[in-house]
Amino acid sequence: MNSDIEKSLERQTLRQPRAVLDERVFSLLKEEEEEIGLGERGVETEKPMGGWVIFGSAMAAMIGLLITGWVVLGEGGWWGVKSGPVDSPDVVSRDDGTGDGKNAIGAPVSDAVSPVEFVNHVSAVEPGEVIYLTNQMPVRTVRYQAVETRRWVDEKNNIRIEMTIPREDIHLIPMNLD
Amino acid sequence: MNQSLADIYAGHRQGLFTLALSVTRDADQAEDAVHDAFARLVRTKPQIDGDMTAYVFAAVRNAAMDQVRQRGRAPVTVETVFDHAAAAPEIGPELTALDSERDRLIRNALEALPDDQREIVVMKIYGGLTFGQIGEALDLPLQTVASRYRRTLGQMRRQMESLV
Repeated sequence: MNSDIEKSLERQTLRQPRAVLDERVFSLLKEEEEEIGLGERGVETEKPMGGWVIFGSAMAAMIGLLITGWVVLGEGGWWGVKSGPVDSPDVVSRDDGTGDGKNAIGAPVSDAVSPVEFVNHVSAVEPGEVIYLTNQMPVRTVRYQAVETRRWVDEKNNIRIEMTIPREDIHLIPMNLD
Repeated sequence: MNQSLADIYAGHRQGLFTLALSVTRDADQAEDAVHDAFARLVRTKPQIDGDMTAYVFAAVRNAAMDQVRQRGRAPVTVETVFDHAAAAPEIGPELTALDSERDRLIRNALEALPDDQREIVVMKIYGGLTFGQIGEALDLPLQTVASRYRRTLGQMRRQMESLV
């Protein structure tokens, strides 16, 4: 009934905050990160992309280790953990197609694993330079580094699986260069 | 917190500033209000049970009201949430001269609303919040927010029709 009014309101050009507000807020958020011990990772953002490749590779290796650790847990049992059936659709396929009811790593398929717990932790926020889009709109680049952590728990067999994935997003924030 | 403050700021930067500006009617104070709200959130690290975005909007609104209280008087120049200096959209097949005049009237109608009504419209249209989130931010039941929003748009329509 009032959709035309809403459309008219949406069409209006709004007054924008100045770029200095972004800097003020992001510096606050950066201070918070440093307080909780993430400052070193924040420094990492100052490095060229080569550093990111190394960082990403290290994280990928960590994921591999975690998955491998889980496989070993499933097969042999470490730290006194009884080995048992574990399955996660996001980590390994439920069935390797051999028709023997086992997945690709040889572990029997089970439905005992509880739902995924997901945590997305932003580890660094870095306001970057101002660039101009093709329509000459000025935008500030803001780089977000985040670490996604997914956890699966098989309480029956006392097994916990954790997968950590680093992520980097570049946000473009429109700005008014008054 | 499921959503970080940085994510909320990046996603709602314009909406938060517009809400603050609609309260303070002064752009500098609106920016100070957004900054103060985030400074408070960073300092106090509140444990939020409800919607984090709604909580941040409420924090910015409170900080904007603090700014108004500290000022203690009406601003010398009342600033609107709209950028009147921005180039007007070109009039063409999709936007007629009538639409342009209608837009001017609707801007005036929004600015003339009482604070409580204007804040709901700003949070819905420019903040992108749901009625539920607005209810959390303003501590009002969802149905109250929804009916107040619809009533406000109806009021704006009648005001515009009386002027055309």
